[in-house]
Amino acid sequence: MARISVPMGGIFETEASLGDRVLEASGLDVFYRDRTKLLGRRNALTQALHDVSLTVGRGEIVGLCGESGCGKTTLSKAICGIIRDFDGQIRLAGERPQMVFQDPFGSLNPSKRIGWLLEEPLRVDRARSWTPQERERRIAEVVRQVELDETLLDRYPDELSGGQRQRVAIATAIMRNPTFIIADEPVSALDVTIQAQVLSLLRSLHEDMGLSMLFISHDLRVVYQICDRVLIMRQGRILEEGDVASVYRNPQHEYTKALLTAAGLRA
Amino acid sequence: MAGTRRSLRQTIDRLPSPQVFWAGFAIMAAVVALVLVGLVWMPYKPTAMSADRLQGISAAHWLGTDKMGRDILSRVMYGSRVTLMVALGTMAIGAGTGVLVGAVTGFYGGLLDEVVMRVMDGLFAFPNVLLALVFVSLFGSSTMHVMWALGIAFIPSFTRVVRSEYVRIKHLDYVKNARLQGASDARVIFVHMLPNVRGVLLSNVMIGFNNAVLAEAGLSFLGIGSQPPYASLGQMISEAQEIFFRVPTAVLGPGIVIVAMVLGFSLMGEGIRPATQSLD
Amino acid sequence: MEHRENPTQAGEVILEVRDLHLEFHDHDRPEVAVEDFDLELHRGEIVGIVGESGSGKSMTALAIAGLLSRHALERRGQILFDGQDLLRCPRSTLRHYQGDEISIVFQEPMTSLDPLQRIGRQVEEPLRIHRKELSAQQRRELALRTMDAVGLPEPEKVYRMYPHELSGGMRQRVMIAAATISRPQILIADEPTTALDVTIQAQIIALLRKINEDDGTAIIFISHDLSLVRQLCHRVVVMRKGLIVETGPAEEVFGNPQADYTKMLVDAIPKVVL
Repeated sequence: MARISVPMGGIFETEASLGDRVLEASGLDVFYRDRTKLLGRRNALTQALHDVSLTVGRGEIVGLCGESGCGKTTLSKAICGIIRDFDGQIRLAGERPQMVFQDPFGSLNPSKRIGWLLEEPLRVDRARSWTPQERERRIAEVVRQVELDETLLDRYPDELSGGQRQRVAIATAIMRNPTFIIADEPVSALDVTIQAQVLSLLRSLHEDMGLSMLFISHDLRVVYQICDRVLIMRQGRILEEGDVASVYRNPQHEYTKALLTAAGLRA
Repeated sequence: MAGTRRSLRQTIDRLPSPQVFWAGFAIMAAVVALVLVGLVWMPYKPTAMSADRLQGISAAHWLGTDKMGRDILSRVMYGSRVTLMVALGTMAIGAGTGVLVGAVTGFYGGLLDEVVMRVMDGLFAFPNVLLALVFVSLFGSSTMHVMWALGIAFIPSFTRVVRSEYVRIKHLDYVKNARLQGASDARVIFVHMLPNVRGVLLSNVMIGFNNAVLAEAGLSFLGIGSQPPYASLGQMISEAQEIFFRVPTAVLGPGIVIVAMVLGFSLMGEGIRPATQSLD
Repeated sequence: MEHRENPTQAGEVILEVRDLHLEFHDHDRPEVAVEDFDLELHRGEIVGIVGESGSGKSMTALAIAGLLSRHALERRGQILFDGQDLLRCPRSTLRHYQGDEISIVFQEPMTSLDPLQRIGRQVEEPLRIHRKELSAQQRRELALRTMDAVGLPEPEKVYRMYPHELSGGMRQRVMIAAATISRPQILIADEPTTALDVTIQAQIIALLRKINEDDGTAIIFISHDLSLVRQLCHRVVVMRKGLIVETGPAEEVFGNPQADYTKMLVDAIPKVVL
């Protein structure tokens, strides 16, 4: 049991026994302070998360919805251990989750070949070491799973289309066969037709591997397509949560109603 | 299949102005050829004096002789070697240390970054010539010491460039991704990030090289650096001032080589620069 | 959607694009960006140009706004406005229309405003160029009125602010105020809401509709977002790889798409059944 305690008393625990859950987060507070100068006064704190709690069940896709600045990115960073200064408790059933980012142009290192990028998660795996043969076999397997053309392995990211790049990003995220990943606006930067393909890929990974996901999106239509449950966030707080159909049909909060209206899902 | 492997040649051809790069490359190749030939063959020993003083261009002395009867072509070949070595050494020290310090401070930031950058500012404020003088007066005048002095003087500019690139890149998703995957800090800094600053670094090395050539020439013109009878290009020009009108090649020979080195590297740097700017 | 009467039949044609053909020549092989593009824009009409990246929709918009650089580009066809061909007329003529009769709003309100100039000055800029007869006082009044019309709160205060003091949605309103202050006949909006949050997006769409209804400004709305185009536009042009795939009244094109590509686009919108 690995326990990393951090300033502010937050507890971050991986490989925890959580039964049928892959993530349990409770009472999360995160504060930001603008850059502190060597000399000069300290800037005021802003609170990015207010007492946020959430769970993700095994094999569940949870949508996290909200507009820019609502804290969804902060929350995802805390969960995957990028932000360590939080208060509260984050418990994960497996290792720190991998992320699929919004912009596949930015999430793939432009000076590495696709094959190298796919191999990296295996090279730096701290849980076990992979022999070259095992790596090759695993890469071939995942490449097939994400329906990527094998001839692309020799290419650089800028020679791929947006959709192909996002497939590569997804492939690196699932390379070590995780039970849980975070997808941060994974289809927002893609054309609609490509969007549909990537969504159906994520769906099939969910069904085939039983992959659990925290799916962050501002697009309520996309969330409806892929998520089982949804959380609506605003100004660092979770306003509303429930299964997708009931939240969409019967929104409780004014803000949720506004979001639904803006997406053309409510008169 | 075409396009699947990207050689250096292909990378250069993808630049917005490959012609400029190749022009600079051709000039540099000529200078390097001169130095390489000088390693295996020179018309005369560069320090060998003779009775044929202050001669003009002739079959025996292609560029004539100086006031001590030494063959100017041989001395230019030798001097180019010295200047090139000093410039390369300076770059190795300046760029090597600069990259290391810039990468680490840029990546970690914080107090370390603040302190190191203030030290760099201090170093930067120190004139190169003054630093070289201090070095030479402490350790004695030699080509080696000039190289070290210039190398140290060049560290801050490389540190700054590399640091600012690292500060920019470290927030990009692919760096976050590498850390999430569990790559060690050293691996993230040198394996993931370093290749992405190479463009900026390369064009700065080209410019830095120029400055090193000019600084060495300037210092040896002032008499700091390699000691007579051995010559570097700047020193040759300094010595030839009084005979310029009798043997113009004594100044023009080393002068043209200096100009060629600076021009060659400027053009190469210029040819590369647009590509590095379009990287982000 | 009853609020949108199609004025197509009512208004005269104010802009006509014929056989527009744009080709880049800055690479080894010429690259065709737009081919055989035709469009008639009527007074007071909102036309949407939809397509995915690389469809040529933004190139078309820039061509109509006269903002394409003239070198490294082969241009054929005609863009007729006010009896002039905007593709061939002298630059001075083009400048005469730009910002006055034809205005454009871009996607990124962060970079299309000058960070060092106060908002008021940037909103007034078209007047300084095209309405030299106005006094500073008149310019200011007109700017304040326009800023109020685009829904900027406390125009007097915003007038003195700098772009960084405003949110993305507010900045986009400023852009729209600057683009509409001279009451142009045509407003080109190139993905004006793409960088904004959904609730803000809805407000900007409502604002564009209001400008269209109040002033009779014709709008060319460029977007990749079919549902926005459907909400706002009377008529729609679907583009793919530089070619027009389908065109017609918005309701018809999206309700009963004819071309396979349009069908694919419509099908790709995530369906929500409540």
